[in-house]
Amino acid sequence: MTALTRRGLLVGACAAGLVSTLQACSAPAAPSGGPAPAGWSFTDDRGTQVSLKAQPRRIVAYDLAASPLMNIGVRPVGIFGSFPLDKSPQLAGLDLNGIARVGEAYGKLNLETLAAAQPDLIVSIFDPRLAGPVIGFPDQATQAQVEQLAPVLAINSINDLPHVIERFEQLGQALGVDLSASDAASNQQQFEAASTRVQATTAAKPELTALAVAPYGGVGFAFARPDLNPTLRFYESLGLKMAKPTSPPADINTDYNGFFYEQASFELAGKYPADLLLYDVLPGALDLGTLATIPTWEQLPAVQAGQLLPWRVLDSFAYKLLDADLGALADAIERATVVTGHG
Amino acid sequence: MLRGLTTVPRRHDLHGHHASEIARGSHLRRNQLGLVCLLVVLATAAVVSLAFGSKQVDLQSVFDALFQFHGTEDETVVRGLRLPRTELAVAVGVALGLSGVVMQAATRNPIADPGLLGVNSGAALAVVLAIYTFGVVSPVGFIWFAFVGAFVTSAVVYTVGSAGRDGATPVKLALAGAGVTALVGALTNAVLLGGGATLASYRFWAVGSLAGRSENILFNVLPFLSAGVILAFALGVPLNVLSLGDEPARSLGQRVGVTRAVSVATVLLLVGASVSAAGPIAFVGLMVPHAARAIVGPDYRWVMPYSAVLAAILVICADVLGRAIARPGEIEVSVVTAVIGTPFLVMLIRRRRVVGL
Repeated sequence: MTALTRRGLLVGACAAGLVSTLQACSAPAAPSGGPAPAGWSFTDDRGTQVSLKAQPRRIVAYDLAASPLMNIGVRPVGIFGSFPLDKSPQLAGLDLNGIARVGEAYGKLNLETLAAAQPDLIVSIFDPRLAGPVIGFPDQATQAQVEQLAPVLAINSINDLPHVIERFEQLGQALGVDLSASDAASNQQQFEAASTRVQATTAAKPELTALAVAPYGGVGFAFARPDLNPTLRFYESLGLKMAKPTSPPADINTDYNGFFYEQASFELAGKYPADLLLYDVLPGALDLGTLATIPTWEQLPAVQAGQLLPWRVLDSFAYKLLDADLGALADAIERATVVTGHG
Repeated sequence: MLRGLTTVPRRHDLHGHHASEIARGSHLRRNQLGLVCLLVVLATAAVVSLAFGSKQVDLQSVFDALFQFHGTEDETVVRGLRLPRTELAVAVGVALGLSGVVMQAATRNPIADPGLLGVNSGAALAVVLAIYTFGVVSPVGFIWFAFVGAFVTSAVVYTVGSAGRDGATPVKLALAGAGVTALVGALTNAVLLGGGATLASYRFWAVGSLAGRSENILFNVLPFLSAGVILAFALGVPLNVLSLGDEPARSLGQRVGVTRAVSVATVLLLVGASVSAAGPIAFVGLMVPHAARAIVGPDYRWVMPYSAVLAAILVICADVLGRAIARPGEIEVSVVTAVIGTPFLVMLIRRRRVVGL
């Protein structure tokens, strides 16, 4: 139960006030129970303290942040994301009726729609390694413009998944959600059960190697570096053996994709032998039919054995989504056999 | 050589009689020899393209892949990836080279690019619509949409360009092409932005690459490409006459309008086939005819085959170079041709005034 141990540790650290980024731990306690005190404040993971006269009601969120908030019962008035909202993998199954579509392509915010939504607070995520604006804004200037409308609050998305989820829960509580009344607890239990199941399946097949791959451009594949991707790192923590690209990551600020992926031509499809392939299913990704026209892909042992698992690529910070993903992962591992020669 | 118009179009020259037979004979032999040399270079480039890539494959496997295929990983790389892309490089090169010659000759514009007719932009719009309206995602599925898009756009360009008293004059064609290309490009962007999705499958096509395109794609466009090649070679003599100018050509009995219409059809067949199969690849059709003319002079009967072979060599080399510089990844051939093409064009224009056509 690595994940749970870590989660426990974090809670403990938080309670002891040891971790500076968790200064905000005390904040959620304020609005819950009794009459709301004058003013509202929350310190985000950048260390920025957002203070408002009253608890914010009208939230606009980046889709990856909207997903966990909606899953615990915070309904935003507007969402901006990297895809048309009904195609966003993290918003699947959520009721989006009446929510303003503030942006449906990365960095393309419609500021008029945003202003018309009259937000009290804007929530997104950020990657501390990235210079520049928080995720979802094209540049600092746009972010500054948006901050004229409402304060921006950002959660660090590269921490371990359970920690990120916890931070969104804390934010949700600060926004007035009573977690004990929602199905958050049962979702968490299911997630923990699913994690345990994955651990059992990986323990039964310690040799089984997985690889996450996304086709890039028209020229090749991109092999994900599991250590740099919170979801893949989480799978690893559950005992899944993942193939790791050997080349050093590029600088994240000059070559974003080269940081997260090793890019290789179609000729090198088999560079990292794997028994289970996690393949990119972001909207617009190459479908399996197109991939099948690439002979080196067709020849991969995992493809021939049909040991393929759809991969959302972007991280999910909601127990419900993770629960589904972990279930599919456990099923895939159970069905899979070791098909690589391991050399 | 680019000695201008005086050397070519004396009428009997055009049909291969008279003139100083001795000089012609040595000229002919020199041109034939040159073409053979270029074919040898092309064959060498093709072998390099088969043998070289981001994956190390020994020559034995390359040989086996072609002549006794066992299905090993290395052989699959050669037969499944390098062979199709090499074939496609030759086909696309021939198509772009010839269409560049025809385009420049028919419009008498030395910096005319085959893309001028709006073929590339029309194909792009059709592919985007195919993705959005019909949910087509595979490159094979794009072919027919790209072709129809290229056809409709160039028909519009030609109709607009030939409206008015003088018919399809070079300037009107160029202006109509620029206008329609801008309009169609704007529509493409509108659909792309309105849809919002990052379309990997569109990028897969639009990037102008030879990698990962199955042999099926080439076979599908081959009939059109072959028809275009035959038409282009048949245009050699009429284009020689047309290079005198519209009035002299008419006085020599040529139906200038027919020559232009056939030229446009030829360009459409060639570029339509190329862009459908490999996506838009710029600069090849623009620069290769200049190189060919620099070698064999202005006689289109020679400029055609030289351009075809030179363009094939250029596309193969650009593709191999793209594999070499970004290992283990690759750079798309369209990017490489643009990087090579730009300084080449600047050099060409600076070294001597581009010959009037």
